[in-house]
Amino acid sequence: MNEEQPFSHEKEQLRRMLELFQPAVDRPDSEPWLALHQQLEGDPKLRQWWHQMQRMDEKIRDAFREVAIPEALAERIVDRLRSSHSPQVPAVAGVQPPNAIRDVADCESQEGAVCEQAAAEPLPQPVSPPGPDGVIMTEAGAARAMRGGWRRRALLAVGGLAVAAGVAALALWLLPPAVPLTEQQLAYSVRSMVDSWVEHGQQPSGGWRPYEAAEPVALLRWRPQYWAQVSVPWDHQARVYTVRSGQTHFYLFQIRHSNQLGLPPVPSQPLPSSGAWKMGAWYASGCIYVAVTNDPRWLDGLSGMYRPA
Amino acid sequence: MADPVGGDGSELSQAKWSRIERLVAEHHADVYGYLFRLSGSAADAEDLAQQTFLAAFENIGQLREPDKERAWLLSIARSRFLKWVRKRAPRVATDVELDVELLDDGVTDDAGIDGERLQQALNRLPPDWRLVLTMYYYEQATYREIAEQLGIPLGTVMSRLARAKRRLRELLLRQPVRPAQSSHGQP
Repeated sequence: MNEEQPFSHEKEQLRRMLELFQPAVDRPDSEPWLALHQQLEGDPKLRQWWHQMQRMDEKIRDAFREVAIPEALAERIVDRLRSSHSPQVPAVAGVQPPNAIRDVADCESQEGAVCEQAAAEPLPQPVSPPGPDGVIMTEAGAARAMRGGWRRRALLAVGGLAVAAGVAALALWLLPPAVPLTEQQLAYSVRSMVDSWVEHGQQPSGGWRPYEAAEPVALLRWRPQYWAQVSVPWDHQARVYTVRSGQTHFYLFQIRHSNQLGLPPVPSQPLPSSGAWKMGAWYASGCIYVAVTNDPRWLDGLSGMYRPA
Repeated sequence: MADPVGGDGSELSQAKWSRIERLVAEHHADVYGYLFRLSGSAADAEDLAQQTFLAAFENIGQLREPDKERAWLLSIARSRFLKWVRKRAPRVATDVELDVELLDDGVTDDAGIDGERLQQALNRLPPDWRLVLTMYYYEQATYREIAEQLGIPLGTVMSRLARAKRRLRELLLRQPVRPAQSSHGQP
């Protein structure tokens, strides 16, 4: 390490000013940077510090971009958009959409100020004449299309079907979720969360809470120590219980869902896992349970800890 | 992709779907990376990215300038992140109470800076510092842009960013890479 002698007050001020220099934005030959950089020429120590600062800044900037993108993320986003904007959704009055969608609606229509402002912020010229970028022209095109009599007749013809679809949609909303569930996605979702807690030191959004209630003692022989509410694509009010901490990690997720995967009623079905994590899943009382642990003995002992309802 | 659910099947819906699918294809990695650096969690970043594109879909009519797509999406992502932060229970800040002015900001060995180590350091900073750092390093926004986006004075941005950068350097240089420990972030 370059343990330096303290800079003088004047040089300290100079350093503070130099720190404000933005290589990607500021031109070194422009005022006031020109004067500052000229002072570097006559001060080897300060120049060395400056070069190290610049180098580190570049490394930090590069490190910021080193993010592993989850596999098939784009597909999942589009799938979620589709499921959230199916034509039946707005037609079903009085049925609440999933939390995440409600959040967006809140953002757009109620909380207003912050979210709407943020959404509009990067558009310094929000009102621009209709151009070839798509939106306005396509809106006009749609309006023309809707004026067509043939389309009205077609809509009337499918009206009956729409009613039936609305009823089906109502049933779907009452029995969420619309997000497709696969073993891979389930495993990925819970493993990502566990990784964020264990590897990155994060906590669930609401933090861990001491476990005090009786539930799920009826389900497990061992009493959890902490629990938290978490959001997964299929249940935004899922719960996770940790029944042991220390070098061995054990988490139990409780996700309200139909038994779409055909999971067994006892904890015997392993999920695809990677690295040190082992996972088991089962279905009971309207919920999917997923156990995640880095100690396979815990999975082996699941049937021993499980107390069927 | 297959024909999207197009609402009434109109040209509007189809154009809107085509546009949002293109936005997702071109910007999902950028949006996710931005949110991962801000939230520090893969699961939260993905959830927030989903919310970002949902909001983008709803408001896509606001986007009139194609060259501002990235900035527009990142601003929505930022908004979602801030809302997420507000919803979270306050966390004990163990090391942000230090007077950063007293910290030595000498530059030391920076060879080991990578994405993971950076995130460990970022996770220890308060959200408002993390935000200006991410806007500066990831979004590559200028001080003025940061000030305009966050609605705070330029001087505040400069001082906050300077303190955040100093603290980040301190964390990156002084703290060895820690193996995953059960006590960190665990109950």
